[in-house]
Amino acid sequence: MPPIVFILLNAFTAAIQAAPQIAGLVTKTKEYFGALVAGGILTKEQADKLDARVDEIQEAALEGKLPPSWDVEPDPV
Amino acid sequence: MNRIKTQIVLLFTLSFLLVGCGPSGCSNTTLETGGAYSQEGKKPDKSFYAVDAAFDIAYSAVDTVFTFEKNNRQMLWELSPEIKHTLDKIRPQAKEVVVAYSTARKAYTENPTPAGLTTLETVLSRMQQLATATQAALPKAQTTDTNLPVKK
Repeated sequence: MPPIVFILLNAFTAAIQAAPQIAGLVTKTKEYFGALVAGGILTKEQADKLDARVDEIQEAALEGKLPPSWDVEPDPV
Repeated sequence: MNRIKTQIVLLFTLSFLLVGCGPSGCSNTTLETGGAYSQEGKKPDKSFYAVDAAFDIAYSAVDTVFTFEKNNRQMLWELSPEIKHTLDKIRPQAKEVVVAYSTARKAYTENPTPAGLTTLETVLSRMQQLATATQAALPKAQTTDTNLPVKK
C-alpha cells in the first residue's frame, strides 16, 4: 500500500477517539483500501464479511427497515 | 463545536477516498475462491465483489451523514436550517436507491448475468452521487473558529 494511504488511514484511526460516530465508515474504508490498493488477494473471509454486511442492508431495505435517521422528521422548533 | 468540526473534516476527507476506487478502478486484485462471491466450479465474481464493496462504502457514507445530522440536529439547525432541509430532500431518494440496489442484487444473485451487473453498477453510481450530495450538504470544514457561530 502506498505510504500516503497508510498515513491518511492512520490519521483517521487516531482521530476516531474524537469522532466515534464515523468509526464504522473509517473501518470499512480502511478494509476496502487495504485490500484493493495493495493489489493483493481479497480473502474468503473479507468476501464473506462484505456479503454479510450488504445482505443485512438488502434485507432491511426490502423489509422497509432502514435506520430511523433515514426518515424525514419535523424541523426543530 | 471543535468536536463537530473534527467530524466534519473527517467526513470530507473520507469522501475523497470514497470516489477514488470504483468497480472498474482497482483491477489488480485477486479474489480468493470459495467465498461468498464464488460459485462452485466457477471463477470468483470479482466484479460483483467490487460493486458490492463500493456500494457498502457509499451506503455507509450516506448513513453516517444522516446519523450525524440526526444526532447533532439542534446544533446544525442553529448553524443553518438548510443542512437539514437539503438532507431531507436526499433521504427519500437514498431510500429509493437502496431498495433499487437491493432488488437488483437479489435478482443478480439468483441469476448472475452481465445485464444484471450493469444494473447494479448503474444503481451504485446513483448511490455514489447521493453520497457526494450528502457530504456537500454539511458545512464546509474550517480551520479556525471565525466562520462558525459561537454558542452562547
